[in-house]
Amino acid sequence: MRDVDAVLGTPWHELPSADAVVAAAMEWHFDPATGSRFWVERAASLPFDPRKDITTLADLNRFPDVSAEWRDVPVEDLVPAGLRGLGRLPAVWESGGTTGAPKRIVDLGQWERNTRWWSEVLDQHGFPSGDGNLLFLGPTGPHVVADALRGLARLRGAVFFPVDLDPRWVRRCLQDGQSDIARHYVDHILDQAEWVLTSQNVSLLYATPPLLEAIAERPRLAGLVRDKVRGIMWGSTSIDPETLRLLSGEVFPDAAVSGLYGNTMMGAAPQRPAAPGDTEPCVFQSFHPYVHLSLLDPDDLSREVAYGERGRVCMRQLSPEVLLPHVLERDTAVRVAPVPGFGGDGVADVQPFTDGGKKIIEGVY
Amino acid sequence: MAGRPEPETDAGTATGAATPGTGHAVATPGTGTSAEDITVERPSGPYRSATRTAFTDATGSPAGELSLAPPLLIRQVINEMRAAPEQPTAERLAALARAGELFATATLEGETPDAYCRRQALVSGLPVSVARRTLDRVARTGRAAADTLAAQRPTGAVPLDELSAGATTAVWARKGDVLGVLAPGNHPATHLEWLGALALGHRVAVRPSQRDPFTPRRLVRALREAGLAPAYTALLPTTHEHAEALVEQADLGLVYGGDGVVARYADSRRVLAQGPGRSKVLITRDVPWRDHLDTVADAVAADAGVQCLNASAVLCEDDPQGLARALADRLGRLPLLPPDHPGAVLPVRPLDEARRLAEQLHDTVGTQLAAAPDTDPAERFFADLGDGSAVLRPVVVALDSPRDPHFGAELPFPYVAVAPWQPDLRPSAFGRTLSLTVLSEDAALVRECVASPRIRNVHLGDVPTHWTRPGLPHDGSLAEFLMESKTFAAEPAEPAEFSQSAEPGTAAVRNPAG
Repeated sequence: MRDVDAVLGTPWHELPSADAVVAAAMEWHFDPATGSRFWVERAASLPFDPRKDITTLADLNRFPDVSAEWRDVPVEDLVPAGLRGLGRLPAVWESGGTTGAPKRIVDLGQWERNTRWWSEVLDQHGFPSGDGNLLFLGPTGPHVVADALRGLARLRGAVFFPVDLDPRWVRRCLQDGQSDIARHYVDHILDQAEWVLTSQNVSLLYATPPLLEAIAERPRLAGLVRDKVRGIMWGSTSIDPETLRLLSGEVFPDAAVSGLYGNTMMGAAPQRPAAPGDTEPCVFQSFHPYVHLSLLDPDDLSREVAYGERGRVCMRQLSPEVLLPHVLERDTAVRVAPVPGFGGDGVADVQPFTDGGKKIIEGVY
Repeated sequence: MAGRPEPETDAGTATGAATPGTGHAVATPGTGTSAEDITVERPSGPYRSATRTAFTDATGSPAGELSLAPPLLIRQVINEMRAAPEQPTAERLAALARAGELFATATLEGETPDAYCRRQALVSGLPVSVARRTLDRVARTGRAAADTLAAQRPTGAVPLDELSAGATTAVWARKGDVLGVLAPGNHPATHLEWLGALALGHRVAVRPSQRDPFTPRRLVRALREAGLAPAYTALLPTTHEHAEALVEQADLGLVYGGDGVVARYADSRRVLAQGPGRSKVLITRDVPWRDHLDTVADAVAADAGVQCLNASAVLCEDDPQGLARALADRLGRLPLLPPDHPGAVLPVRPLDEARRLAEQLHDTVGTQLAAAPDTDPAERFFADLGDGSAVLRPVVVALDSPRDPHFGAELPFPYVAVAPWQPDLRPSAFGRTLSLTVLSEDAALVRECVASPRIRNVHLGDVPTHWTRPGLPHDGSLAEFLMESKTFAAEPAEPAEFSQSAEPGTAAVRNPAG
């Protein structure tokens, strides 16, 4: 009998090699006894046998990108058979819906493990713990990020103060050219943030870069953040390097500012602390080896770009509950060599991918 | 017919000999201009943004790196400008005069006037003589700043600085403190416009064009060197996407663009949009066009034909076809030279851009060209310089009527449509015209042109459309947009019967002037 936790769920301090995880994941997800209906049935139409032919990370390129199919697969089909009957129902999270109907993913603990690791990375950044509460400005609803932040708050002894935000509505406003409504909505969110900050002991803040910029535009609110918050987490949309430098250096100079890259399918890839020789101010690391990021040449997706070069982000997830062997993200980033303490390549300066077609509207989330 | 005004005009070389003795060697394009950063200029000095982009010269080769200001930086800088203390008018005017001289003659942060002209030419693709004449235009505009300021003020209003506490008068006051300028890149002299705003006391934040970041940078350096308080100017390069943030954050905006931009801001009281000039020449039957071909050619092609003041249409009553052919012949003999050649008179663009333009021209006016028939069709619209760039050739089209849809097009090189004028047409049929040169003995027609709200400037006789002099309105006076008259009414020094009523709102209801 396979013990899924032996490989796929090992604590990250004693990580197996990436290729060992690949092999274990193929065994787990394609064995009819443990795999999901989606993958076990899908195996029949693949021109290779995953359990025999896929042994390395590079081999995962042979899989098609199936993530778009997860827009309409019944979620029961996504739950691995080996995880049924454990007395737990999966949580289901939906993607932002930036590029069409949302994709769905099942979660039976992967996000929680990911968040525990993220919290340790925040310790390395000097974020407060057991000392003040967390204000979260972001989506709840079908989106995972609020749940992850609620978990993070618990881990750091912080009361969780969420302010809700519907990112799909914001994007719809922007798509329809109704930027006035989007701006009005941002004001509505910031009013609520101001009420929390005025009366509560808040030392941690999670917000998207557009919301942080909007906070900077409101002197009283910006003053409250400057006075109270000692750790700012930003994520969910990209940020240009100069705006990041201004936010951390001029607008909120006394707070630790740390980014989070990621999405519903990828999980959380937190910014790692600066390392000697860094040329990029902000490098993200995925939850290695369960989530692996490769940066591919946009003109030849079979080729990884060299360190220091920009490529299209390709994400692979190999967790007990999720197999996503090959997902092309809507982002580009610069490839950064691994550093001690973190597995796998880092990615930096994440920007939306444009191929000259329709512009992706990121919105405020 | 009125004689030509004193020779303040600084163009007039396109159809004659090129400006002689520009005093710098002809260099191979691509050498000598080292790649260099254009930084953001904040009140605290040059600032290298963490977000940057490369910009190219007219051959399409990398020419340098532009620091980009994201919206947050635009906001920070405009707040810094707003927060800085005011500088007295006399000091500002002195600084403007001195800055003009420095711009024209000084080495600023290591940049000589020659180096500026060369950089400007290679990146914009404009003949180097354009930047060279701009040196002098900036000097003259700076010197004239005080007189211009006085000339633009309504005679019934006093400047805010001269307001005395006991006065009851009209006051001339700014409508806002910070002016955001989205500068165009077609001609360096477009930057002269915002110097007037500095004289009025506005703080000016300029977004430079990628085609001409050098002119505003040199202006900002000259102004600061001359003693203008640094918070009065900022240079904020930014992406097209974020340019709007500059106008939104500033109190007032001055933007340049096509018809779409003009339409977008048509109803704005806060943003002034300057669009295509559609300048024209009108020649009636009583004036033989052959005697004025120099003026017409000059109006079309001076300064490479890129200004909104260059004529893009000619209305001619007698023999318009003949005029079109003669004009095409005259302009067809202009030399085809790289931008840094002292004899260059035509604009140079990257080859692929020239090709696209040529395709459009072929598809739209290809059958209406007035050009000599022996022109090689492949080279009809541009001349490949072999270095990745091409000289845009002048284009003259002969139309049957000013109602032809191609009448009124404005293109970034010497392009002119010639159409017949008939006495039953009225100036109201022109469409909007920035500058009109009238060659006519018909005093009533001239008067009608001056009266027309759709014609902004009227030049009579051999005064080409692009003629200017500091202090005269260009598209109205910028002051008409930036300033307003308001009433200041002070209580008389000896209040004889001032009401002591305790009712709020009633105490001050009296006539202070009477």
